[in-house]
Amino acid sequence: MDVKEKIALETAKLNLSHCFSCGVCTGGCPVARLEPAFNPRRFLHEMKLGIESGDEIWYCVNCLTCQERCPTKVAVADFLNLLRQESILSKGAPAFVKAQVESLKKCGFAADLGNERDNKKREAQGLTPLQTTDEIATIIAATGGDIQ
Amino acid sequence: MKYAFFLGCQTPFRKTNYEQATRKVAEKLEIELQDMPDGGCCGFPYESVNEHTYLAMAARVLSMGEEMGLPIMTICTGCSLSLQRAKLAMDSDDELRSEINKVLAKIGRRYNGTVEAKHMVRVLYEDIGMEALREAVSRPLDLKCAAHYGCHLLRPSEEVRFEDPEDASSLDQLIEVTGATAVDYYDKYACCGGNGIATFTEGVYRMSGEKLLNMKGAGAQVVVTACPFCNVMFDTNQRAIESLLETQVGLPVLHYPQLLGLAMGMDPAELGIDKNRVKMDPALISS
Repeated sequence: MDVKEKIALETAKLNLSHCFSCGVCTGGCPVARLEPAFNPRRFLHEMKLGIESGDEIWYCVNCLTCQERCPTKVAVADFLNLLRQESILSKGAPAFVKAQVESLKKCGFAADLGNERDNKKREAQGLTPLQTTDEIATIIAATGGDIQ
Repeated sequence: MKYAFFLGCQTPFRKTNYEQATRKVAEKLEIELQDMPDGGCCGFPYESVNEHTYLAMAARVLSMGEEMGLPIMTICTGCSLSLQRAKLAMDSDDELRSEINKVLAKIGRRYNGTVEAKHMVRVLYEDIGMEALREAVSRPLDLKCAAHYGCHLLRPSEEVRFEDPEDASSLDQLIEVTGATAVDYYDKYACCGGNGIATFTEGVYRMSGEKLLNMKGAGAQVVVTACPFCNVMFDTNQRAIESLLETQVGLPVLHYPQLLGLAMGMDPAELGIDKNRVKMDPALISS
């Protein structure tokens, strides 16, 4: 399934066809205010035209202001998540995502936790130890969530 | 009151003093927090990687709460939203829930839809209540504070179902119950930028920097956060922000339970305030 097909499937779920291009998503976006290359409204139109958006889709801070304010209830932020999912499939994941995934597979946390050194620090602070888990690695494998 | 205490990753990784202060304050308020030592990650990082992995990770945490027979309390707004959204998606779609349960079966778990997950701010505001908090305050503070809510505590409001994300007052009320004044400031509900730290670093420093300056301009002496990542942006990164913006900010940042703990008569060190990056003038709390 290519990008366009998959996004077409999501169109109904995310109300993507409701967009009448008012630009509220982009007008209220704190990233767009600082970086004009980041333009959620344009990303939506690019998708409709079958154009792949650039790497600036990763600038999104996930504040969900666009989604909250959209007058026609387009799930703009969820759409951006979808673009990033597709971008990972076609171009690979950014380094920070790879690092998080590796950590999740290794210990179940998105950072290196549950190890002896960290638990010693926790103990010194009067906090109970954490435990690593391999359940997340199993989930990642079972849902096709691994990335290389 | 009893909760399964879900820590997530950011708090134990970078803000153990947030956990420390939460535990101290909860104990004194007789809120029993049961540990989830292998709680792991809420699934949030996977929202932009793989939808099913995200849902299964969140469902795993929810199923742990069900097994413990307790509602889940988080102290990270990212975690609370992640769990709430996944719950809503699976509770309103039986087919999706059974798909996710097939994944959970591989780790011997099952999500039944019988558990609630909420952020500590909501536990205090909705479950404990202002009345009980007011009674717990023994050393009213004379401070001007700026509340930073954290996007995911409020948005998307249709899914979070808490307050108007452009006119919320819960954290302001929780500040004022300590005797402190909550100041209004420009762009109060704006994002700290934390989620873009790896990809849009200079931009997100500008976002949190502008916010800090808005708070300071409104007369705030202290910033109050309710999320470990927002706290990283305002406290840990404040010096980097100052050097980027070539300006002096110098605003101490407290995790909300640190503020409440002070008003309950606790010692700053007991609440991990000595571990905050931007140091707070002891005179501010000696009233």
